[in-house]
Amino acid sequence: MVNDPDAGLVKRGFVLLGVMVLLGATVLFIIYQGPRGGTPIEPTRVEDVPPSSPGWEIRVNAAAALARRGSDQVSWSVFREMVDLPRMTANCREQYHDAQETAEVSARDLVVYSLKALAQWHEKQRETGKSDVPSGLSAVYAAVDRVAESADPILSEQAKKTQATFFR
Amino acid sequence: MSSGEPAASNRSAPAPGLPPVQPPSGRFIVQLFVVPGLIVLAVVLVLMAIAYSTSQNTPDYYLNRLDSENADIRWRAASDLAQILKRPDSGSLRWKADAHFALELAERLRKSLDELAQAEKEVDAKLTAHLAEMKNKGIAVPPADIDVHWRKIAALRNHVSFLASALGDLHVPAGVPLLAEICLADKSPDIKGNTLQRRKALWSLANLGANTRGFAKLPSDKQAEALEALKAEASGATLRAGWARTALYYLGSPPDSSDGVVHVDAVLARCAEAEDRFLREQVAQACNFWDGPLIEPTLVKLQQDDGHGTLIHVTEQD
Repeated sequence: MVNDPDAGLVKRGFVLLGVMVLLGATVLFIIYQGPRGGTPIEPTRVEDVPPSSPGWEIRVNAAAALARRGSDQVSWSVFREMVDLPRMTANCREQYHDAQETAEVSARDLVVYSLKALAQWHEKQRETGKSDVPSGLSAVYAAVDRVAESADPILSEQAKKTQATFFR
Repeated sequence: MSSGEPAASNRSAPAPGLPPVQPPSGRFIVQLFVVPGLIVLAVVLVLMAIAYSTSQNTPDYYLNRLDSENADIRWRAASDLAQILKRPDSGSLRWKADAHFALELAERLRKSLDELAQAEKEVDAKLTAHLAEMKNKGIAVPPADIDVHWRKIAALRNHVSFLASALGDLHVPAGVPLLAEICLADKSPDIKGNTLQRRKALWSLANLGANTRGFAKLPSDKQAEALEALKAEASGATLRAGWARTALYYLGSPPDSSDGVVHVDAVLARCAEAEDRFLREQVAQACNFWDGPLIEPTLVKLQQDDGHGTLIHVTEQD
């Protein structure tokens, strides 16, 4: 039996080629697979969401301050916008940002701030023995439920803490 | 072996003309190192004791330096004091809970505000004359040239901003009336400078609200000391007495007379009507730290804000 010295080299070359192809296919599969699971968590593209009307910064701060006081006069339509991440991102994109803080980070911080204020409103209401859900608040609950499913752990964690204070 | 013996005897025997070599004794080591060490330690301790006993880190020391004729000394004092006031309470309570210091700072802010108003008038008169002259010559004056005129009073404006900010860092709200005055001052020929000053003052007012709430957490002896000092100053018809009465009102010890007491909720309600959008946003934030019958109606109004008015962008260069 004659030993061909190149036979092993060719064989190893083919094995290596196969491994490379497999690796490439795996990478491509991961890239083009898209989000795992059924429905995407945040299906709305930020580009498709129009920003709020001018003065939203004032309305947001005022509504949050009223919520922290446990006021009965909180505007829940303003709050629904406040916990809407794509809307807040669109709003923040219109503002000036430096290199250290992006619109996305600002928007997330605003939503977390709003969620905390909402939790405080529920706690203050409970302290005064109230547990009614005013009209408009149910829509805020639904919006917070969506935030709780967010892939962002900071957002989902705060949303779950806020959900725990809800009247339901 | 015999060849090693002469070498050993060479090591122990002194060379001709030299004294015999002996190992140092314990006493010699002590004389050489420990005694000088103790002398140096004693000198350092004495110097530290002198420095501590004659320490210049007192409120009065900074107030005197803020009054200096030398601008460099004033600025150094302002810079040092700003750093002290930003420390946690453990390192700055001596200043933050001192009612006399708060009233003295307010006196200096009053004086600086008057000087600034006078300087504004003078610059405005010169600028108006300059613009009229240029108009007669048919030369358009670029905005940058106008800014150069206002930059002449920038140092004075910065001093006002420092004093306003310092008053906001204290636990004694003696600065409320003056901060309110700055927040409400919407008429000024220097639009950019005044806009920035109002925003800074409103920020300080919000900060002061948070610090006033912190007064209740101070040691009881510090609280009693501050209230006693304010009560001693609260009688009379002077501005200073009004500042003291305002501070007493917000520290939960209402004065006998309410003359000169400035109510922050009324100030914030008026600021909520400002044309400056950023100022209205700040009002909404400041309402978190102050209470009063007008706070909730102001917030209800602001949560329906339609973004009217102007949004002047003021940069650090301005």
